[in-house]
Amino acid sequence: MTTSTKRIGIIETGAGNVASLHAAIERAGRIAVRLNTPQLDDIDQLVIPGQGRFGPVMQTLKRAGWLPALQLWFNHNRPLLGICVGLQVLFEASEEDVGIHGLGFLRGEVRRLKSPKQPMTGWAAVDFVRPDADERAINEQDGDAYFVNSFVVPDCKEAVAWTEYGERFCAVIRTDAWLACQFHPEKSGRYGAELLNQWLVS
Amino acid sequence: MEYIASERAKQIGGDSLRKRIIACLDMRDGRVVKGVKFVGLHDLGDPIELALRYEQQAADEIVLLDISASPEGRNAQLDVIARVANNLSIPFTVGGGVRVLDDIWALLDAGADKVSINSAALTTPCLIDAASRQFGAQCIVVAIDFRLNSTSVHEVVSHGGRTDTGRDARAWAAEVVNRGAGELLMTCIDRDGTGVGFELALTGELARNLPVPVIASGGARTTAHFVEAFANGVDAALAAGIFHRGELTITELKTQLIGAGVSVRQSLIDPRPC
Repeated sequence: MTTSTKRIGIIETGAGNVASLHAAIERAGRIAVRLNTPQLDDIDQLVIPGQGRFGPVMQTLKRAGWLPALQLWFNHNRPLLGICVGLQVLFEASEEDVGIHGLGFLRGEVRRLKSPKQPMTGWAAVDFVRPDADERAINEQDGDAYFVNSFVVPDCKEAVAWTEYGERFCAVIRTDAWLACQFHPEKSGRYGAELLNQWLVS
Repeated sequence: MEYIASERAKQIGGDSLRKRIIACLDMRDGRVVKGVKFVGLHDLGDPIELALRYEQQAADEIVLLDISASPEGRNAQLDVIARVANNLSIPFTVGGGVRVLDDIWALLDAGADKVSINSAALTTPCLIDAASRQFGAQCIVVAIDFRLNSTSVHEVVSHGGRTDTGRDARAWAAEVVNRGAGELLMTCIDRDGTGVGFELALTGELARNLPVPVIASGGARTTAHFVEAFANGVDAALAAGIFHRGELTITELKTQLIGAGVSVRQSLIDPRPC
């Protein structure tokens, strides 16, 4: 396990508890800090946690002044991890709450998953894509992760891993310093813990 | 890719989510207990210790039911739940004594991922609708205890099997799903603790036909019982006694299930001591 003095800021989106994520970050040897407002002086990485639905999460982010703060964070290429709905709000819009703008850092729209059972609740395989000529090495292992969602991003050019349940969708997306996953690494056992350890700055 | 996809579909559940193995802890006064057909309880240990042991063995989920809560009006023990939740890195479902929305909120706030409702759903069915609206269907599990009565009807029972409700289990299952349940936990109390295998006529039928995951519970003793359950379409299978008594470890069970062609979670077993 990595031990680090890096401070990971969990954005309080006001929807459900973030205790599991907080505990998982601490188990990964980093310091978890919960943030109601963008007080980012001593923060090394931000996390948008995975509880709640698209519209209310966007409203909370807006009301607490996160939109300009996240734009600056993005412009300065500082690290961010989005989990579940925290992945979805990085996009432009969602079928879950039509008419509400997402953060729009990534092009595309969140759509209802055409799955056999809804919501998707359970463990499914995460397959990282490894094209032969990829200049950006993929260090992550494939494995089974825990998903709880009815909505997904079906496709985007930033996808680096895929999952299939009824249809194929983006499991992990990555830009330079931003990374997001549709599943819950904090609930994905040893596999999730290893991914978190890789993805949190150290 | 086509080859891999077809190989996967040949597995039981290979075209879907992984089939889950759930370890259940029945808790009474802060200790894990186990009895046969809900009576004759024995002390089996500390809930945190047991939950972590099962996570280590590759359990896919832990269910903790405070079985003293509903009959005796005792509140679920939030401090134990919070400590289990803080240490687990797999999904954690809690039930027992849930009566009103505030009870559900308290359990979620303590760190439960899902809350299981049983008796209160029977007396106040609209609690399911309200809970699902407020917290999301994904965290509302409705537990249905049932028995096969003499006229070959599956009848819902409550209060640890001591009260007959006169409700038909098939109709009740459909109703709770319509009201917003995100998952069903079907326990056949005729089978509970007997080791003769899961009830699968009704449970399998519900799993194949309802739009939510269905967990089979009660009666498992051997790997064959689990294979049979998954072949009948159930999404997850729950057991307690065989794991508590060490008759079958979850690691052994999952290895054997993979051998039998069941699509279960491939987990990393941590070789290092924590």
